[in-house]
Amino acid sequence: MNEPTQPIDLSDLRAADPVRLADLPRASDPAAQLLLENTVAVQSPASSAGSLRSRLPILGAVAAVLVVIAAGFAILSPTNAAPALATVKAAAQEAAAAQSGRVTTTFGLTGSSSERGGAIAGTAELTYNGDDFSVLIALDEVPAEFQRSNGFLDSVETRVVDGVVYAKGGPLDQWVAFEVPELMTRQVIDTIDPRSVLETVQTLVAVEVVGVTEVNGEQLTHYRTVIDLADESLASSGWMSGLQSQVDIDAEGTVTVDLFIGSDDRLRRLDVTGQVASTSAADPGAASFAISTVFADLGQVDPITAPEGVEPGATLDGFLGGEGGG
Amino acid sequence: MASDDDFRALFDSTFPQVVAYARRRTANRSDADDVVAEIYATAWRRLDKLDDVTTPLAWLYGIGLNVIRNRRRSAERHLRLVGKAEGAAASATAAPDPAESIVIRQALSTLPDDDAELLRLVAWEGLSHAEAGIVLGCTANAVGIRLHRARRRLDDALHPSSPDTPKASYQ
Repeated sequence: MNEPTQPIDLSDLRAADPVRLADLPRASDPAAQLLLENTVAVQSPASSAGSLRSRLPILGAVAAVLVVIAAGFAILSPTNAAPALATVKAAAQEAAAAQSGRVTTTFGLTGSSSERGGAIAGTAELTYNGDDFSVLIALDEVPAEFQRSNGFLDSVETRVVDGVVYAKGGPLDQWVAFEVPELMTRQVIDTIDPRSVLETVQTLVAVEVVGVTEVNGEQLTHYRTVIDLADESLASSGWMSGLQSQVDIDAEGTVTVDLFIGSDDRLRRLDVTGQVASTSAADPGAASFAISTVFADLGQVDPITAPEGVEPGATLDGFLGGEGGG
Repeated sequence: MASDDDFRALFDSTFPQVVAYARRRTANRSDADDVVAEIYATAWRRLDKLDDVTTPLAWLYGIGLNVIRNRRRSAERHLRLVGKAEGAAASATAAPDPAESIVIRQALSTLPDDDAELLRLVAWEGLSHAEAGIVLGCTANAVGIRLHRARRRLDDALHPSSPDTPKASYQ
């Protein structure tokens, strides 16, 4: 029988520390300050949408929808009442403050340019709890170019749990987990997080009350505002300049935003519709869209769970290239 | 609610320690820099939780634990094993390293992940049992028990038994 082994003295282990304290940088060093500023700056949802769309097409579809929704909030409508605006902002603020919720977005977008045209339509069901998300996208219509170039899936479920991205759908009949760089995961979360979008409601300067309407058997107060993209006052909007850095907004047309709020002053539904056309002779084109977003179960969603028995085993590049894996 | 200024104060008060934490667990300074960036990026987006944090360093190390684990899984696929960090980190230090230190770090790298991490947190990060418990999600009492076991396993790894003696397998 062996004698019990005596534990090693921790002082021996301390002496084996590979780090020399004198070699460590200070927080005041320029490189450290640059890291700090980049960390704070990258949190901005607006700063992340573009790169996300270019790198992660599946969630990018949701991103595109939400960016358009966000565009609908850049409103400087001339005719409205302050109490209505306060109600709308308070409802959006409360919805944005919820740590969990369920959001169903039905969308249809049709666009054309001098070279091509196409349409995308479908439904995105998003459930969130803290920083974890589950997104189920079912596309009824997808541009052929997406299917060819990106292996775009007509239906895919994506989850983001503890910073790991899981996907299932289309040619993938089982879950695949991706190791995604933390900052990129942050970009995904920032972009799909409905709370980020709702915060843009605070940029509204006016809305008007349309009336009371019944939605799914519930009496809801209907608020509306209409954006005229030709309104020159938009150009002076700080929000607008931020948007222009992300999407081509060199266009004319109108965007109508309808908000439906319950008797409990909570936001139930948000509809955004619009028709826009490019004003650029070099890049002509037009688009129309209709997006309806329903908010439910705010603060009442159970934690999002990762698929059981799935370990990250695929590269993102491989997946986007249509190779899958896992 | 914690503010931007609170985050900056957190950064200023913890940066060197977080850098040290990352360097102790990665193969080179470039990887360590990536880990540091990921730790603070995660902390930034969880800023709303900062008000409830009693020991900021333990909180950041807890974030770092997940960052390292995620990177390790990725690194295993890309042949950049963070698990080899002990030896690699030794070669990255500027000062000549005593042979004994290298042997200890190599032995540490053979331990189960949980044991090795606990030993690093206590010996290198200088955390108390309670603080290490925050990082690892267990009680201070459990840390004491696990630490004793980990120390013994490290000693086993440093002093292998004769070939005739059965050896425990930790992996």
